[in-house]
Amino acid sequence: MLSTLLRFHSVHISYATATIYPDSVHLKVSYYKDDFTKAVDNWYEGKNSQFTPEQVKDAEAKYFKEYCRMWSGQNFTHQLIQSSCSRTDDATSLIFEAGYRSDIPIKQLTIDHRVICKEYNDQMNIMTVTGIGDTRNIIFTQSKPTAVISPN
Amino acid sequence: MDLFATFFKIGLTHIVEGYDHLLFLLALIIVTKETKALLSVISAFTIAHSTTLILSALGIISLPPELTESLIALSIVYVALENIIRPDPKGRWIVAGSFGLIHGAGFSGHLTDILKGMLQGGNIWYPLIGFNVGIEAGQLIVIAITLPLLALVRKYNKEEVFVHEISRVIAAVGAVLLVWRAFGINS
Repeated sequence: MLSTLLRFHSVHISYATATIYPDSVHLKVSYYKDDFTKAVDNWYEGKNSQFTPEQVKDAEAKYFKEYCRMWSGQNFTHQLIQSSCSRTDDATSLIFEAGYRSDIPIKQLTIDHRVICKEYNDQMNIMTVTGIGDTRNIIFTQSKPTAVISPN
Repeated sequence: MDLFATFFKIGLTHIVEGYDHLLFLLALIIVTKETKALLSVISAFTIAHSTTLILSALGIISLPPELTESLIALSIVYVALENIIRPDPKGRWIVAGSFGLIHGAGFSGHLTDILKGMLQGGNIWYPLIGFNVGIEAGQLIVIAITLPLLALVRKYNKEEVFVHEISRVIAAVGAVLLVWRAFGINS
């Protein structure tokens, strides 16, 4: 219990950059490793405790794909493809890189980012979006997990 | 909520819920009798720890978390013991500033990563200013709670006993934290 107290952090935040191109998006997002792991554990209801390291990576990727989605126009098929997941040197952050590709030029992009929002009602997923004519900061929260962007 | 407000909240929470910063601040404040001295102590702490936070975000300094966490615990022990050994310590702003550098470098790697990301996106000033204003506000809350209590114990001539007993408790907690962190017991 003391160990948990000493490792406690009360800031629940992630930061992402999304670069929008005419028919694709590049996303890089950094989560608190402890918070993300807790969210994956909850999603698997603890059944992942016996997973091998490879299965853990797979579980993390599946959770990420389920709770961070984007789609263009009315095409709700989310195609956010994760390209990598890395840990920072001090192992406090998990960094995902992912890409989204649309069959047609992106006129309206919907981003749904609710990673860790079930675990912490004060989770803030901040995203800086560029390539839309200007730079925009969006804060996704439990009560506001979705944003719609119309690139110029 | 915009970026300034978000990071203001994070800065405020960092102080108000960060038990190690609270212990350090409390130990500094309880022996500071004059407003001028109090202001210089708080300002020195804020400036110092903002400096190292910015340097960390810029990637200019990078200290191992085990080291900074242990030094933060050591700072708590040092200030609390000084309260007992030197009842009227002078130049406390130097101590606050020196250890403030360590406290600023002790932010979690994740928070520093986030600030680095914002810096790369040319997006750093609102978060950084909001965060530091939040920290200031957190310190003002601590002062607002502590000073009336100190005034009360002074009124009943119990200040020395109060300062000594509180400092002993702070030193003891700091010592436990120091051992815990230095030997990696919490990892």
